Amino acid sequence: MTHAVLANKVSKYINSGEQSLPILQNINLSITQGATAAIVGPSGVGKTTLLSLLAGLDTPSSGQITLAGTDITACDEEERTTLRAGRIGFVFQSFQLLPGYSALENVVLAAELANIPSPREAAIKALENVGLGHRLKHVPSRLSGGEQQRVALARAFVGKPQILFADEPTGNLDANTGAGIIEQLFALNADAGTTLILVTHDAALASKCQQVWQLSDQGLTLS
Amino acid sequence: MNWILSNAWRRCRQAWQHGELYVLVLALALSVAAASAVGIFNDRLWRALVAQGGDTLGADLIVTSRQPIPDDLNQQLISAAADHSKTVVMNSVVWHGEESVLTGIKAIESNYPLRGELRVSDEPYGEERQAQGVPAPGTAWADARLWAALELSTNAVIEVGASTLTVTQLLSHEPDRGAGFADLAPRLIINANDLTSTGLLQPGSRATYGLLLAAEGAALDQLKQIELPDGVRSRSTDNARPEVSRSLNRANDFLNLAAMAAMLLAAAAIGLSAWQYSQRLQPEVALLRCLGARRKRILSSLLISVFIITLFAGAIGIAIGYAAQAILAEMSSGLLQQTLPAASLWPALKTMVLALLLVAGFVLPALWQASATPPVQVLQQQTTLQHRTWVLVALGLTSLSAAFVVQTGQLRLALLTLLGTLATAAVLAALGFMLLQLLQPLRQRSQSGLRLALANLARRRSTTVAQIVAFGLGLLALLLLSVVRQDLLSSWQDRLPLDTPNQFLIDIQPHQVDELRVFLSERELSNARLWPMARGRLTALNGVEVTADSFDDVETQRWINRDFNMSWTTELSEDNTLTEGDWWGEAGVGQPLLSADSYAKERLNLKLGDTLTLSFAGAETTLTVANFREIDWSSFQPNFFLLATPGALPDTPTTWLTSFYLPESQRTALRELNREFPNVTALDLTALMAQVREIIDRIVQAMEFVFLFTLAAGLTVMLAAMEASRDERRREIALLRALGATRQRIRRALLTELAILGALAGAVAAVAAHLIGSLIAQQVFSLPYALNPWLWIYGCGGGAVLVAALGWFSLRSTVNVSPQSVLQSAR
Repeated sequence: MTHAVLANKVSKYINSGEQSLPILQNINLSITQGATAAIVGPSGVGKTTLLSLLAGLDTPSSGQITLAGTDITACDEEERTTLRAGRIGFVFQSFQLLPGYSALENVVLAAELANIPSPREAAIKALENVGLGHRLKHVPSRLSGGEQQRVALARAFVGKPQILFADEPTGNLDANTGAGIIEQLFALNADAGTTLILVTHDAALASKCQQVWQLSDQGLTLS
Repeated sequence: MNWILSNAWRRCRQAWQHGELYVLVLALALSVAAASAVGIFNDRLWRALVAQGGDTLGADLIVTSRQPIPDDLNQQLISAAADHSKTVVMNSVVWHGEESVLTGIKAIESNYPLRGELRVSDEPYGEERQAQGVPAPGTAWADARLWAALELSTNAVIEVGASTLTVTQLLSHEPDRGAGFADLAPRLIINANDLTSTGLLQPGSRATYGLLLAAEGAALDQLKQIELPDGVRSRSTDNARPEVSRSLNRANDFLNLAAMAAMLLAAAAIGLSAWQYSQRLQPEVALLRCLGARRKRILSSLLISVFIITLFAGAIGIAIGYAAQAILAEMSSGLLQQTLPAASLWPALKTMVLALLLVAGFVLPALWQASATPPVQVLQQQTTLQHRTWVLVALGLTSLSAAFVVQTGQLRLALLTLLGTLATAAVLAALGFMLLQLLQPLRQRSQSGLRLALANLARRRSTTVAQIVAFGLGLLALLLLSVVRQDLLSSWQDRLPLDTPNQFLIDIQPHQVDELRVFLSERELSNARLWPMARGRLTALNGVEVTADSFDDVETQRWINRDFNMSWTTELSEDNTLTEGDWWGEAGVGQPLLSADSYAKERLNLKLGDTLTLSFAGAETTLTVANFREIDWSSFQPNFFLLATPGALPDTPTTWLTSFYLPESQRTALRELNREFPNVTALDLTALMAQVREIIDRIVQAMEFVFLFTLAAGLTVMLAAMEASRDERRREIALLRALGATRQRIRRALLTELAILGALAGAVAAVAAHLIGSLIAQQVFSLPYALNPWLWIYGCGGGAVLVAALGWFSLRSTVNVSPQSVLQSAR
């Protein structure tokens, strides 16, 4: 059984003056390839920090993280970046679309970085898959919140990533729209066989995942 | 590579569509425009000078002398040359109807010039053509300045000395005047055959005799070898116009100074908007890195996009600079002797290098920082970029210095300008800070609009002061050039008594002295003294032979190289004060004594009892220094560095001179004088001063024009600062609106804030202009300098209006922000 993500005794501290404040301590986690996992917990407990560590966006103060078979704690920033290109996808609470670029350009950008042949065609197909074939030229400010998140989904899946990280993907959306997005997320995930790791405080959303990891002040536990 | 290029292209398009970098483009374009305007113009001047070569002289070699060239030398030169032509140049007043102008009159022979050509036209700015021959006897050609001053037309009849001549052509180019700035007096060319009938040339008259020689190769070398006696000089094409290149250098430096000031401010605006841009890039960079774009690739694409944007801005700048240099050329057309060669684009392309240097120093560090945004920032609040200020300052200053050197080719001038401007900026900053502090107590006692405005200015204190400095520098330059210069000139003129002599009469022959006294007293013009004058040359000091080479400093060398004008008297003038020794009085007659003024004392390092041996047309005499004097030159009376006792000088050609005050109502007397004493030259000081002022005005106008770029660059800095504050303002205004502030109230507060900012910059510039003006007045001219209210009105009023207009253009959209956005941003 191959692991998509493996965390071993991971801790993260931040330096505040002379003191070192612990954000995460002794985190152990393993998520198998192709699984869906949710990390849940109350606000401020460090869910997003854990996600950023697992995805290689940030480095732990101690411990080891293996992402897609690579020990990313031994990599430098550039090596981690290269690892992410095409293999790791992201969906964010605040969508994180480039404001001046059209929906299509936002997706093309990711396709190019993932070195997909004919990135433009792939991007159009990805947008059509999320039902936005008619909105290709629209800039984010002219799209609704739900549409923006669907563009983000298209961007996340265009590179056919092995692992997809989602940070509160419905956090900025109303319940109905959020439900639609989740449906699409899981459908795309099923089609592509992607490992899905999402951070949420929405219990209903978490319950759709095969694994639910509970993060609290005491640590991370699999429930 | 593919991604790098396509992302670079996307960034350019972003910048274009959303105006992200318009301040940066504006600032770059302005610096390139100022530099290329000055660069292209200077290049045209230089090419005009260089292209002329032999044409500058009208001959291969020209020999000049203040005395007729001795016959034997004349023969020797003529026999060694292939061809020759003689000229005589002298100053005299030319009349046309009631108008008169002191003019440089040049008499030429029929084969003039030997090299190059005379060009003429039928009217000012008319079509130029090569002249056929020279003015026929009885006719004359006037240059454009004389044409304008005397309101001439073709076939106008003018009076020159005792003769009348018909003006048949407008002289547009004369080879031995060459390019560069004009001599003070306008020019009239007459036929050598008419010279006698004008009666202008008398023994001892001030004239320059020229012998133009044509020769090539060995013959020319041989001509150059011929030894010339004192007072006779030769010029060849290789040392043609040192004074022209000196004046051109100086003009170059002045214009470059103005351009550099513009570049410095533009650099500040570039830096400000680049950092703002890098802040805006952060989320994008974080996302791109999160999606797997390596930093190097992101940086490369940013660099390519900025390179493209720089080329675009540079092209706009060059276009503006090209148009501006044409205006500069038009402004200087009256000062230059000929039309300039067509503008070349080469110096403009050089300014592209300059734009890239500014970008390297001020934009690249910002992009470097932006590209380092950590990917984790996609999940966090935006962080402020960390940077080492001193590294950035050092980088900026280095790139600015390099750009200045590219512009001027002189490291010293570049560094001095940089330091000077920074020092001035520091003074303005201190003043701005003080004024801002002084305004604060008003906050307690003012209405809400003003209170809000003052609070905003105080809260963004460092930005406010930076804006005051940037705009203040531009204003300061213009205030100094316009208001303070006028003030100094008029306060100098006001100090002169009303009856200060305004006419000098020179070249009076000894036999005319009594007649002239009668002439003047009949018209109640003056009881002024008439002074005899002879020209001598210093040959020995304390018995030791001296030449110019005996002295180290250039000024003394130049002074020694000329003939001294000397006079003799028993009576010390009122405007002379004895500083050392005793005045000889009547007892001095016949004794070999000398009185030296402080300038001569300093130049020659004289002590009482030193002896000076002087040669007067070959006859030598040795005089002992008996006393030293201090001369008050502002009396406008004839004065002499060296005075002797009557009878001490050997028998030598003598002319007389005097000065007197001529009221405007009696100007016709000059005409009668001209008829009765044709050889006597009347130097009209009022007219001369007007001519000097005209030339200075033109040069100042050109500088003011270039300083407009500086002002614009200052405004761009303000714009950059305003743009940087836009998001913060938007949030504040949304909050105020949510709390119930009306649009009108917010608009009033914003306009008040901007007007105060502009007025503060104006006040700072006015204070600095006043300080500098006072300093110049006291230290350089020993004049009192009064406070000029216009400085404040132009400075504060102009500043308030300009900044309010600019700020409104930049920030008006923030006033309309909806209160709802407070909620949106909080979500």
